[in-house]
Order: sequence, then structure tokens, then C-alpha cells
Amino acid sequence: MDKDDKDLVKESLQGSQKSFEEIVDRYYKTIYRLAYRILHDDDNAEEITQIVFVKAYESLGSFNPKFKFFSWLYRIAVNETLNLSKKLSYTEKLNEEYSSAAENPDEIYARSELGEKIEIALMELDILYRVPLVFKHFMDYSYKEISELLGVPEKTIKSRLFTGRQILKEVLIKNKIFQK
Amino acid sequence: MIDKKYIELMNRDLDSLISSEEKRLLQDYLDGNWEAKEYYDELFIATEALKRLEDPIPSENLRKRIINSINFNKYADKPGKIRTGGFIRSLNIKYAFTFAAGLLAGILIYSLVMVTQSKIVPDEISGTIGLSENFVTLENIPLNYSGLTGNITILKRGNEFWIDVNSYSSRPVDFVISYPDQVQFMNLEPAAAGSMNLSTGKDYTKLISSGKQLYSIKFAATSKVVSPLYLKILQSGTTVYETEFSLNN
Repeated sequence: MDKDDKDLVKESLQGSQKSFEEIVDRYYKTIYRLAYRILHDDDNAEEITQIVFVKAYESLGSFNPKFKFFSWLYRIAVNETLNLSKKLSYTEKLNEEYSSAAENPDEIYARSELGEKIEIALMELDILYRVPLVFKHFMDYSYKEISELLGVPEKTIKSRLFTGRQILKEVLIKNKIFQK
Repeated sequence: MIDKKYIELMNRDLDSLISSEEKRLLQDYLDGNWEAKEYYDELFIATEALKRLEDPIPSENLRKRIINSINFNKYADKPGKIRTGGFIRSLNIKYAFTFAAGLLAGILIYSLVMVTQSKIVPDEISGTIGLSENFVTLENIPLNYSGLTGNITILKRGNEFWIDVNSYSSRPVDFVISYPDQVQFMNLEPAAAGSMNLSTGKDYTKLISSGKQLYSIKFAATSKVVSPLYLKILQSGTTVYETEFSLNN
């Protein structure tokens, strides 16, 4: 039977490398996907994944077993992703990328697959709206869970989700991914 | 004009959080308001579009990189293990450096005296000069990052190779070298480098260090053809440099 996350944490704190490696095995792909959805960049997503596990291991002693381990891990992931996003002025960079794309959208979008177009559209959203959308649609989190994770009232999360979806819809129309 | 109350219902419907009663109410509203219907359809398509996205796949070596970047010594200390105090350690290092500096100065002075005094008379020289196998420089990596400067040289001679590190870092730096089965870690030189946090596994060697660093890590290849090796430098958990290199020159 698979061991509980909390048992693995306990064993890791007792010096078992194997137990922490099992934690890595369980979550590294999810953390990578989460970071990728927010940043839309392979290298940065891998970088974040690596940092998350290094930080998680370093501060494993501060994990409170009353809470879910993966939520704790995701919180580290979100913080690191947002920090990197700010550091890289990601939104600004992407806005620039988009303005060049907007000059000749037909040409740009003809080159990319539909999935890529949708990902680009998602990246046009402010990170404030993108993160709740990612958690809702890719991690299947409830409003309450997103609210706890991000430390923002549930009502705000709901509003950001609605607005995010509205903006995404407009971007998809603007980028001719679907016609009005 | 779309009623705000129904915009919320539409969103909750898309999140599958709507009751059957609310669903019926929403449907009636959409049937009687083409603008709302169009708005809802667009929202629906946008939400569905997200479902079309395939899961991104990380590179094959990500897991290995994660494991290699973790300092597993943190919780692995055995109880009762006698630790050398930092003060004593620092004294040893100071003495070692003083001794080494004195020795070097002595050799230098002696060499200068010998060179100036000796006179080579070609007629008196006979025999052959043997040259040992040369070192080949595989990589020369300059380090010029915030808080980390210096350079790394990767040298090869026969089946042995060295990674020479000459660096200064204001923060702790992890040097991680991952290698295939055909490579073995031999030793770290000089002995003073032992004050650095060295950990080795079957397929990796990791050093955590800070301040001025001058050391050499020696490896041996057990096969003529060796798969690529991987060098990574991390500062506070963030990769500042990574490269793959081959010994098969």
C-alpha cells in the first residue's frame, strides 16, 4: 500500500532520502504543469519545480501535519512562480510579444497549433486572473481551496475567475481563435 | 443588456456548481435573450478551449536534477556524531593556508636562486626528454554572475579528468556534477576543501561552498566511450549555469 504523504515527510525528517524521493516522484510533474500553465515556459517551469522541492526539503520541519502536504507544496510553488513572474516582468514581456503578434495575427497564428494559440491567449491574462483559472481548470480546485491557497477571500476568487474567463473569451475572439 | 445575476449563474454553471432549479432558470433567461445566449456560448467555448490543452511534459532528466540539487545531508546527521567545532576547523584552515603560502614562497625563492646561479652548458647534456601525456582542456567556463565570479576548467588526461574550480561567491553555491555509470568520483583536492560540504552518490557529486574557492575534483572514466556529463551551478536554489559536456574528444 502506498504510504501517506505525512509518513513520507516524517521519514524524510528522520533522514530517509528514499522517502523524499518518493514525494518528488508523486508531485514533480504536477508542480511542473502548474508552473508551466502560469509561466508558459519550459525552462522556467522546470526551474520552479526544482526550487520548490529544494525549498520544501529545506523547510520540511516547518510543515504542519494538520494540513494537506500537497497544499503546502502548491503554496510554495505558487509563491515561487509569482516571484519569478514578477522578477521577469513576465506580463510586460508577453504584452510586448503580443503587440508584435497583433500586427499580423493571421501570419503568427497560422504557424501555431490550436493548443498553442489557446496557451498564448491564456498568457495574455493578468496573472491575478490566470492563477485562479489555472487552479480551477487544470488542478480542479474549488473556490474555497483556491481561496485558502492564495490567501484571498472566496468572493474575490469567484470574481477573478469570472473576470478571467470573460477576458479569455475576448482574447480568443480578438485572436480569431473563434469567430463572433 | 445582461442581468448581473445571470452572469454569475452562467459562470457557476460553467464550474458545475448550479442546481437544477437554477439551471432551468438560466435556460429560460437564455432562451429569451439572444445577447445573453451569445455571451454564454462564448464563455462556454472559452472554458472548453482550456480543456483542449494537453498536459505539458517535463524533460526526462528533471527528476534527476531535482534530486541532485537537494542537500540530503540536512536531516541525515547521525545522533552522537562528534562534530568538529567551526573555530577549530577555521584554525586548521588558517594554518594550512599559512603553511602552504610559506612553502610556496620558499620554493619560489629557491627556484629563483637556482635559475640565476645555474648555467646550462649544452655540451654537458645528453639523453632524452620524456613527456607525459598532455592535459586536454575540454571546457573553460567563466563565471560572472551576481555574487559569483571566477572560472571552471574541465581537463582530461587519459582516462582521468579534473574539474578545477577557482571561484568567489558571496552566498553558498552548489556545484553538482551528474555522470553516467562509466564515470567514478576519485577525490577532491586539496584537503582543505574538506571544509566544504561534499556529498557523492553513485551518479553525482555535489559540493556546497562559499567565499573564495580553489579546488579540483578528480574523476576516472572506466570506459573509452562515456555518455555526456552534466554540470550545474546553483545559488540559493536557483540555477545560474548548467552545461553538458563530453569526455569523448
